Amino acid sequence: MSSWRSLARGLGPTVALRARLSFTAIGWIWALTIGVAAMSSLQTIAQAQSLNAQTFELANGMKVIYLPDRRLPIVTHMLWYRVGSADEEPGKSGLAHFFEHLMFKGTLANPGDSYARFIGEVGGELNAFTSYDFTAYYATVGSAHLERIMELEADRMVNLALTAQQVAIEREVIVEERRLRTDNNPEALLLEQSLATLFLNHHYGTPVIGWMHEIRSWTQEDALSFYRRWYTPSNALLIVAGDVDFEKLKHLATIHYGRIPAHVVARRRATEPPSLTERRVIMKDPRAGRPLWLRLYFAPSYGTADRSKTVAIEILAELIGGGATGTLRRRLVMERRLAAEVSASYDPAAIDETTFAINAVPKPGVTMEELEHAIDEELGAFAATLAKTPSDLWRVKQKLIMAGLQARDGTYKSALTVGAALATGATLTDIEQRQDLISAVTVDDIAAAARDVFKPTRSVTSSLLIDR
Amino acid sequence: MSARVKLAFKILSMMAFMFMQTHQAFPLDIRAVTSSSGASAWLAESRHLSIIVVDFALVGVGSASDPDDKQGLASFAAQMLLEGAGEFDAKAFQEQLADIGATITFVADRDAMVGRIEVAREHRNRAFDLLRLVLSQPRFDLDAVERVRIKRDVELARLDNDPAYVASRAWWEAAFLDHPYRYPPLGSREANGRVMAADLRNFRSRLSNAKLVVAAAGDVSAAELADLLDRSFRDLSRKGGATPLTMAEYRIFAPVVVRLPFPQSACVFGQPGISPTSAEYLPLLMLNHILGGGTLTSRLFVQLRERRGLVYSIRTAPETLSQADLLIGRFATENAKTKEAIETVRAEWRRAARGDISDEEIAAAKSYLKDMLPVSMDGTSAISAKLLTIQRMEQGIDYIQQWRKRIESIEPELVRRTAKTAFSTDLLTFAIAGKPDGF
Repeated sequence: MSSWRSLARGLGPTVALRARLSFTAIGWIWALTIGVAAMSSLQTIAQAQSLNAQTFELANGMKVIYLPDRRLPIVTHMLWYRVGSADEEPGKSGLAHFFEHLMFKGTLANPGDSYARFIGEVGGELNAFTSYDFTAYYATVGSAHLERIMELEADRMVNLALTAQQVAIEREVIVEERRLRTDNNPEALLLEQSLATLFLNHHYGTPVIGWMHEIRSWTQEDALSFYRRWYTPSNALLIVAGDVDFEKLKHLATIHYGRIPAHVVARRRATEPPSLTERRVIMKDPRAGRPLWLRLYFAPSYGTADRSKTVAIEILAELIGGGATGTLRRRLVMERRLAAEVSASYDPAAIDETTFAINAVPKPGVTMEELEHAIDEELGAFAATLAKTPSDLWRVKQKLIMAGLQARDGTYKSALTVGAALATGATLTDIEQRQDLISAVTVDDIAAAARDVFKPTRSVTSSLLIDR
Repeated sequence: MSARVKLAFKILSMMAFMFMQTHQAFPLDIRAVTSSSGASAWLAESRHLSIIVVDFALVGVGSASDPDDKQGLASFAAQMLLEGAGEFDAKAFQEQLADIGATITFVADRDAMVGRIEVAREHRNRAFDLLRLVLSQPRFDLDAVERVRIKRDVELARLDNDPAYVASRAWWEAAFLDHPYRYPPLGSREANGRVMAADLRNFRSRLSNAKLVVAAAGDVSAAELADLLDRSFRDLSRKGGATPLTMAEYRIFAPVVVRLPFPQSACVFGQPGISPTSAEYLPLLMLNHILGGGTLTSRLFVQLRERRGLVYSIRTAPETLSQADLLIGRFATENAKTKEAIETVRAEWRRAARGDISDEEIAAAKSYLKDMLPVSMDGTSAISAKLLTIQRMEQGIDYIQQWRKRIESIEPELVRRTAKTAFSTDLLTFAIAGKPDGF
């Protein structure tokens, strides 16, 4: 009964192409391909119950968050660095993710795969992921092994020893990873082209894994200078979730991380100019099994807007494109019968202005033009419809609150959820108050959010056509 | 309420005994719960979060029981179950579920229809009443049937062009030429067009003959769970009436290639495995861990990824079906490197088949397996899923409690002997989707 589904965690160092859709690579593939529904259900952090989080900061500036969960004697140690692909220098796309892979190559004190071997001996899980705004390394192990994990993570924060051969082989691994995720998948290629079209200047328009020709140009010196610049305690955030005593955690973190000297990290990014035009991407590919319609809008994020605003947009995404009950699905799939599938997704966990996505698969025989026209009609009518059916809003709030509980179900998920929020500008208070924020959203707030987001001059509309 | 609960006292007292016996008994109380109507479940109760997850399987009505010309019927039915039941049409039913923030999902695998319900504790009664409606009175309205048919058609069309899916489909088709396991659970686009509402209604009538297996985790007591089982499953708890499948005979085949115009070839490989009821099953799990068990240190991972940079990911896993036991692996590599990658896998297989497994590797595998269970049960849904898997492998409720002891007791010689008897390059088969050079 072991199926591939049950093996979804821990496939080796991974990359999240789109943090806003899903944090793990596997989740991403699922979200894009199986479709469409329920993309936005995994992103929230609702609070029916308190996290009971405790925090402290080391003298070198490293922050530590503790999330208790005593169901089983296990602990997830998740170390976040405030650096992602959006922080890369021009010409070096993908370097943040490549470097994440290289972090598994060993140090002088713990050479080669010592870390992975230790995890193997204690039956644990070890992996990492990279997104636009952050890179995170995690291990889930029996609580008794927390100190050894800290030793190993603290060691590789500053003592990585790379050989030229390791760098050369790992570059080939990334090439295969890019083929797997993107080049073998026309829908992933469409998304990549669409993001590159939406963002005129910001690196959110560049794929996390990198462009193939730039992947091939990475050198060992590129990796090391990236390491020296970004990997330092003051640029790190540690989340420890699970069955461990807080005082002991403080003691261990102080011993192992507290003694690493920190340097100042300056984050400078290319920024986005005003978007003045509607843009369009048309991709024809004989390998596409089905046509796909995609629209991306610019949308505010944790880093650019306050929580009441981002929560309203999350609810908007759920209302129009969330699972079985979303308005677009109801209208376009069930009533007007123009689409086989339709959904919307939005993840506010980003530092800079991010995206709101709507995608749809036309019913066979329906043209892209008909589908697009109908979607725009429905978006235009949305606010008026919502005012007539306030129960829709109440229903979506229930769903988001439940999704928030599910996002905290387990030490790994809790660390992931809280870490992604904190690494992109949300606070623990935001997380604790989430249920109240959701409850306070009104029909007018949603209408305002829809007006703000659905602006043609701040969008790109894409079609994947089957070229036979 | 407690009168309706029959706890498995024998098992519980045995677990208590074990707890005293060993220092490292599994720190999770798993109990058997039986409802008054006779539905039973394993439960791991926890108050950490106020959610309840129940996983269940209706064994005997999976895709392998679909009629030959209606492949994908069970999968079609699984998707239809959420499209209206009882007095509620599709829209009304989905709103009923959404009103309480509950989710129900169904998927058909080769042996069973597998379901999951997730709900906040406060809404449990309503959610399980809705589940009963789904299982006993699904509507199969014609407009919903056509809507789901179209959704399935475009999804199947996409998968026909997905190298990983196509390679897997080709492997099963070649390995089980004379058995319904050869068909993919989702069926084909052609068969999808042939499924009628009457077929779905017939399928529904077969559900009551399926064998029901249930696992639960989260914020629910044994008494409460017994009540929920009655709410949802009281019409289904008769068991074992489904026509059993015949034993699936694995067939050796020369590499199968499906041409798809992509830069990377997806490859699925496999050979027969070992039944979980066999004494050699745990040794096989150790061998799988050593060879390709999904860690960063397995032989295949080191050989193909770390040393040669041929793949991003490679792993193997045992697969237990009611009529077949398998060991299946997969990877993807550039078309030009496919041959080299396959030869590297074969070389590792040959080495395993010689029994070339060191004491250090066996000790490390033991150490890993002994401690991996708690980490693999990180969260309510992970716990529930694990408890369902163990039951579907027809293992006892003490499986988890006995786990460490059983792993500990395995002799290195048995592991090497199992490697020699179970592994063989003659049995190892490959299916490839892409434009592989040299095939």
